[in-house]
Order: sequence, then structure tokens, then C-alpha cells
Amino acid sequence: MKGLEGKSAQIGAVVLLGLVLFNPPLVQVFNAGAARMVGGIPLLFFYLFFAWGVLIGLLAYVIERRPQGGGERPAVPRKENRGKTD
Amino acid sequence: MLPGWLILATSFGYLCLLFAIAYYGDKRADEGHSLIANPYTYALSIAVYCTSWTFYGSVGRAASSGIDFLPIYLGPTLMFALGWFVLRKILRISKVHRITSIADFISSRYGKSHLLGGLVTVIAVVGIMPYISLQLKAVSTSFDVLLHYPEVTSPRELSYVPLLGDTAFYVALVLAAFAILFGTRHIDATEHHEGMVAAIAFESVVKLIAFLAVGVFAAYTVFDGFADLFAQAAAVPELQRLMTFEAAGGNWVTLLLLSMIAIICLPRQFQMAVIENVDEKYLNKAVWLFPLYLLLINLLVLPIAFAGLLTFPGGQVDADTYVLALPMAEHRPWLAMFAFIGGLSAATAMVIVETVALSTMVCNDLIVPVLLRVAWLRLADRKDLSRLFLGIRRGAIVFILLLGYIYFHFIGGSYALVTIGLVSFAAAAQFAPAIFGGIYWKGGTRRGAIAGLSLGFLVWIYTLLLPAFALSGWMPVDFTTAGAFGLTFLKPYALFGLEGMDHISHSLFWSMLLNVGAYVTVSLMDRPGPTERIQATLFVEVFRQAAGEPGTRLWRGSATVEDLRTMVERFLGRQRAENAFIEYARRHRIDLKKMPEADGDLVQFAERLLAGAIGAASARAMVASVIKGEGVSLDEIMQILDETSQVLEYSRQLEQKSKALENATAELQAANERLKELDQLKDEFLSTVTHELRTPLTSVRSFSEILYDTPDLKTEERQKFLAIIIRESERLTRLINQVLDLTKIEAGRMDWQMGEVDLNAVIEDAIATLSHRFQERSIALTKELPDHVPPVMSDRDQLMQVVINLLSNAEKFCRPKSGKVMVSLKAAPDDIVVSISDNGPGIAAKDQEVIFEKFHQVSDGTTGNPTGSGLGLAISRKIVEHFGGRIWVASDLGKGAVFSFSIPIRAAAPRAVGHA
Repeated sequence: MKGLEGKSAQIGAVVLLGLVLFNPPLVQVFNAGAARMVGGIPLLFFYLFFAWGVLIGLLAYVIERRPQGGGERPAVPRKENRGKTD
Repeated sequence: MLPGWLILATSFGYLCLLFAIAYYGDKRADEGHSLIANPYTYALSIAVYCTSWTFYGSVGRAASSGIDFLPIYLGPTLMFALGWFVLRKILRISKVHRITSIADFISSRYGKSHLLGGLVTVIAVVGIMPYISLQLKAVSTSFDVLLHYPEVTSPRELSYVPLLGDTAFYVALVLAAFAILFGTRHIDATEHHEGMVAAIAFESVVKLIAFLAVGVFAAYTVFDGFADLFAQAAAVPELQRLMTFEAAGGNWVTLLLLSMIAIICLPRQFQMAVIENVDEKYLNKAVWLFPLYLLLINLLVLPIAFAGLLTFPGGQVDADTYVLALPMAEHRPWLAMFAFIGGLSAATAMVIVETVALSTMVCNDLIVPVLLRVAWLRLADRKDLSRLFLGIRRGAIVFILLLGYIYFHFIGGSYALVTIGLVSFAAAAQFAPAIFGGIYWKGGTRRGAIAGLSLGFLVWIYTLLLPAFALSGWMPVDFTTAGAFGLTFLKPYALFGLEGMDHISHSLFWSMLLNVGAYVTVSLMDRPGPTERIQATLFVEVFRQAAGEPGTRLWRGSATVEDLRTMVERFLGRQRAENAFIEYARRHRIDLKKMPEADGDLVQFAERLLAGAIGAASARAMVASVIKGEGVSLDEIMQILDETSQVLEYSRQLEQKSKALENATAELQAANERLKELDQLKDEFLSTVTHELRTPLTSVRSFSEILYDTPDLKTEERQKFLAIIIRESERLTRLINQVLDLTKIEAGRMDWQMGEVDLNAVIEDAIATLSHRFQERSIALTKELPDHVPPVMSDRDQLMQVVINLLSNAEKFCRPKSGKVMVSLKAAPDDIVVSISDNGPGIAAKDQEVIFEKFHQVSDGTTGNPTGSGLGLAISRKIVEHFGGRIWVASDLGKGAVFSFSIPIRAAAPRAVGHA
């Protein structure tokens, strides 16, 4: 249950990050017109799609990651092995 | 190269393929191997969000205002992240309550209100009308453009073609036919439109690939990669401008918010994301998969836009058609065809889902409630209503598409795709306060929602729909330029002088202000009814309720299982109803045949079954019609209100307990008071007894000391002193005997010597015993005794004691010489009353009862020094009461006193007879 609450908090944080990334003050920072290109793509376009991609990546990471308890998994087969040698 | 028949044939072929997928999907679903039971299909089906607007319109928007197309997709990304909380809640609620549409959701939340459901339906139909017209426009335009292959034309001036020559009209009819095929093959309460969802997911894949193909083609075939494309564009000053944020204009934030709302509130999004959802768990993946889809389909919008702008300079080609025009200009007929199919996918998906969603609403929330009311009797006679409902839904689909066509034909033709779509977004946004308020705020009420929705909708009509009519020549243009009735502050694009905003932001501001304002204000002032309160709690606290069955026992009263089954059959058809009931019986392990009366759970089940087919409000009305007896009492409703009721129940119990505690406390206090009193009495008793003992003891001791110290005392004196000592010792003995007697009587250990007693004799003996004391003080003692007195069953010695006590009391309180005491005896049929009167000082009324208590001496005796022990009357009362009689006094202060006691004859008489 605690893991789920942690996940909800993390998703909340991602939403807030998205609100900041996609809105004027920060978008204005990358508003360089045709003056600056990243790999041939105007900085503004690159920034928006990059930020978007990062946000989706973060979402996927937060949601798909196993909630706590994932760390305990390796311990199980080790015990089994020991059981066999005995 | 691309003749019309080929385009038509390909289009029909594609639509038939879609139908085949849908058919297969339905078949698999019936076999229990669902095609759509995975999160990927779910995410793809939600991508019905990307319509012609996205496919053609985004490029057009980008070509005129750069990055401005993007917030429409960034918003849903944020909302889907939030969907982890919000959508999950809506999903759960909808599953629990078998919600069939957004109108059903809202009406259900606010007390299953018909009015609200109808209002939402009207807003949805009118509001979505422009959106559907957008799709018709896109399909017909793209068809016309493709038809002219390889010549790239600008398909402007389509507005005034005759009806039968208008492509869009046929598009509307064909789409209506397919929507009917996909969405209304049967009335379905338990399953989803699985086939339709599968087809939509497929379409999402097709439109994504088609768009990406055109994008890659534009960047790498027409130009030499993205860098080359943007470099060439940067060289053109006008295109340079499009690379800035300023090109997007000032409504960035508005669009972001609007699209966040739209992704939930658009009827088709609600249909796909909520109604058609098979498993709540799929949401987890969709939360990031759907935004990923949006990212992919938008990735190449800018390259296509810039490629189009560079390829067709001077604006001779409508930017909304670049996706088609680019492959055509480069002579790639198959790519153009593929692009057309992609656009067709986007449009058909939207139209099918939207019309199915809307037709469900029109049927369940608008027409059925009216039919149930107006033609109720005739409706009740129909055996199978499912066909009627299918007919209504099919009719609704045709009606909605024709409405969309009319809007397109007369108004939408001259607008860009995105501009048309945004009008619909603004309409759908009106649902947001009622929905979000409804799932997080229990205080939102039906009247609040109705007020908010109506006001918001009216403002929307005034600021967006009417101006569009005016600009299309359907109303005087003055309306927009000068304001209604020539009043400047009523100008629809600058209401109350609010200028400097784009039309959408302006409309959204005013409509939301009034919508939210009215919703909150009216709700706060409102007192919701019981059903509203139940529904509010069930919605807001959906996660706190036990999974599965929602608030059972909403129904009371009786309905037979057969009645319920017949009713459900009428709406669902015989076979489906039968299956549903068998399934229910199996799941609950009961035999419905042996259950003549339906219990609350079964009624609830039937209601939800119906709700799936005809909406919550109508279902409730239908169930109410077969239930005999009322729904539920207020008390029961309060019980259902899970938490609230528990709290109330607890507080009620607490109140009861505290009341009981108060009572107990009061009793304890009283008991405590009594104890204190008794304790005090005991103390008084002890001190009195000690005092009474000390007085004679003191005189005995002092006279003994005198005798001891003065051996030469005169005999006369000595005799006198010794007499005092003897008398005081007697008094001491008497006192101790009295205390012992009293204790014995009180403890019930008195040894009563019962026998027949002649009261005359008792009195004579008592007088004889005391006569010398009367003589000593010269008090006249007279007696008035009848000749014969019936005997009583009693203890002679104790009765004698009583008479002696009363006589000596009388003697004590009389003045010497003038004192008069009289004893009298009267035999009544039931008892014998003995009275002893004196002419002493009398007893005050307040003392007349207490003198019978222990040690209550009336202290204002003539001597001021009480001579009695204070026990005599107490003992007398105990004795008399023991024999079933009573003792009392009648007296006026200063006029003497009459002490009387009665002894019943009845108890003694039979004995006397027996002895005789």
C-alpha cells in the first residue's frame, strides 16, 4: 500500500513538472526562432518535443517500475539453491 | 491515374475491412476470447481523439501559426498523467453504476435526474455538431482533392453546391450506415461494443502509419532530411516567424486547459476511455501509451507543414490539405491514396464512436424518458422493446450526422478545421464542473449542475455559435459587429467590453465563469434530496465502498422475480435477459425458481441491467413501476450512506449511552444523597443514644459518689438518692431494651408471641401500670371503651408497649394539675382504632410525620429538656405496621394532640373463629 501511495505522489510530481515544462515562462526560454537549431531542428520545436518525450518516459518509468519488494526477489532463488545443496 | 471509382472502391473496401474486423471482434468476444482485452488496444482505441483535425487540421494550423497546434495534445498528456487519479475514479464509478454515457454519468451523479440527462444530451448533440461537420468537411474535401489528381487544386468555395451534388452529403450517409452497423447491432447491457473498439484501434494504427509515411516522405523525399527542410524554411522570412513562440498567439494556455478537459468530457472520449474499458488495470499502461501515440502522430506535423509551405508558396493550396497535396505534387498516387485512407480512418473512427455515444444518450436520456412518460401504457404492452430502442438509436445516428452535415453545408464550409473543432471543445468543456465537481465534492447538487450547465451552454451559444451563424449570413452581421440590439456591451466576441482575447478564450472565460459560479453558488444554497445524497456519496467515496455490489438494499417492498424478468426481457430481449438471470443465479448460488419474491439485491441487479440499456434514470423509473411498496425510507437511506450513516449511528448510540449515563449518574447521586442522609441519621442516632445513655448514667454515678463519699448521710436522704439511682437504672434498662427492640424489629428478628388479644384488657392493664405516674402529676386520665371488642390476632406484650408509649408520651407533655388525657377505642367493621388525646402543647404540622422517626424529639417541650428516648414512637410505628395497621397523629399547635393507631380485625377474625 505504501508503494502505491509513493507512486501516486511521483505521478503527481510528473504532472506538476509537465505543467511547468509546457507553459510560457519556461517555453519562452527556448523561444529562439530560427536563430538556434539543434541537429537542424529549431530549438523551440526540439525543446517541446524533447520535454514531451521526457515526460512520457518519466510516466512510463514511474508506472511500470515494480513497487518496492522488487529488491527482495533475487533472495528467493538463492534460498532454493541452498536447499538443493543441502 | 486515380479515377473516382477507384477511390470510392478503395474507401468502401477499407470500410468493409473495418466492418470485418468489428464482426470478428464481436464473434471472438462472444466466444470469450476478447480481442480488446489488453492495454495496447485500449490505448489505441482512446486515440480516437486524433481525428481529421489532427490528420489534416494540425498541419493547416501549423502552417498558419507554428507551434499552436501542439497544446491540443500536450493537454491530454497531462490529463492522462492525472488520469491515474481522475480517470481511475470515473472508471470505477462507471463500472459500479453501469454508466452508459456521459449524460448518464452526470444524471446518475445528481440523483438520477431525467432533466439533467436530457440537458447534457442536448448540449452534447448541439456542441458536437460542428465537430462532426469538421469530419464531413475533411473527408469530402480530401476526396475532391484526390479526385483531381494529379492537379493540386484548392477546394475552396464548396459551400454552395447543390445538395445531391455534394460529396459531404453522401459521406454523411455512408458514415451513418457504418455507424449503425458498428454500434447498434443489438442493445447491450452487459457487454461492450468490442468489435467497434477493435476496429477503432485498427484505424488508429492506420492513421498513424499513414501520417508518418507522408511525414517521412516530405522530409526525406521532397527534401533532404529535417535539417535541410528547416534550413530552407529559415531562409524565408515568413516561415522564420512560424518558428517562434509568438506565432502561436496568446491562447496557448487556454488550449492546454481546454484539451485537458476535452480528453475526458468529449462524449466519444468518455465512451472509449470509460464505457468501453474492459479492465481498470489497462489504465496503467494507457496513462503513458496514449501520450506516446500523441507524440508520434504529432512528431512530423511541422515538417509536413513547412514542406507544404515551401512546395506551395503563395497560399494557392489550402494548408489543411498538405498531407494529400504533397504526395500528389510529387506524383505518388499510392501514397496519396494511403494518406487519404489515413484521413478517412481518422474521420470515420471519430464519427462512428461519437454518433454511437450520442445516439445512446439521445435514446436513453432524451427519448426513452419522454416515451416512458407520454406513451407509458402503450409501451408497457410491447413484449420486446429492444427493437424499438435500436430503431431510436439508428434514427438518432442518422439525425446527428445530418445535423453535422447541415452545419457544414451552411456554416462550417468557410472555416479551417481546427477552428471548427475548438468550438466543440468549448461546448464539451461545459461538462467539466459537473463531472469533476461531482466526483470530488459531495456538496454539488442537481439544481447546481443544471444551473451551471444551462448558463455555460447559453454563453457558449451566444459567444461562439450565434456569431458563426451571423458570419454565414443566417443572422444579421450587425449581431457580431455591433452587438445584440445594437448594445455594444453585448458584442458576442467582446462581452461586457472584454476585448483582446481570441474568440475561444473569450467564450471559455465567460462560460466557465458562469458555469462554475452557478454550480457552486446554487449547490451551496441547495438542499439535496435523499437520492441525490446517496448518489453523491456513492460517487465521491467510490473507493471506500466494498468492491463489487454498490449500496444494496436501495429498494424495499416486494416484486416477484417473474415481474422483474418480464420487465428486463422487454428491454433487452428474451435471450439476453434469460442469460443474465441465469448468470446471476449461478454467481449467487441461488435458485430463482424457488424464490418468488425478489430480494433487494436482485432488484438492484435488474435496475443496473436496465441502466446498461436505457440509462440510470429511466431504469429507476421502470423498476419503481414493478415494485410494490415504496422505495426506501429516509432511515434506510441514511443507513446506506455508508460512512455518514455509521457516524450518525455512532453518534446516536453515543447520545443514548450518554443519556443512560446521565440517568445512572442521577440515580447514583440520589443514592449518594440518601446514603449521606442515612449516614447522618446513623451519626445522629449514635450521638443521641450515647447522650441518652449518658444522662441516666451521669445521675447514677453522681448519686452513687455522694452516697460513697458521705457515709454519714441521713437515711432519709440516702433512700431518696437510692430511689433516683434505681429509677435512672430502670430508665437505662428501658432505653437499652428499646434500642434492642428497634434493632430486632428492623432486622426482622423480633420474636413475636402471636395470640388473640383483647384490646380493652390491654388498655386497662396499661392504664394500671401508669396510673401512679398520672396521679403523681395530677393528670386526669379518662377512658372511653366499648363493652365488647372483637379480638385481634397480635402480640399482647407489644401492643401493650404501644399503648404505654403513647400514654406516657401524653403524660409527659401535659402540664401537671391541668393535664387531661383520654383513651378511647372504636371498633369499625375492618379494624379497631385506639386514640389517646391530650391537652398538651400540640405538634406543629411539619413535625407530625418526623416524630415517628428514630430520635426525633420535639424539643420545644415545656422543660426544654426532652425526657423521652425518642425511640418510643418509632418502635410503636414498627409494631403497629407489623400487624398491618397504621399509626398517626392529628394535632393543632397549642390545642393538644390525638395519637391514634389501628389494628385490622380481618386477619385475626378467622383465627378467632377457628379457635372458638
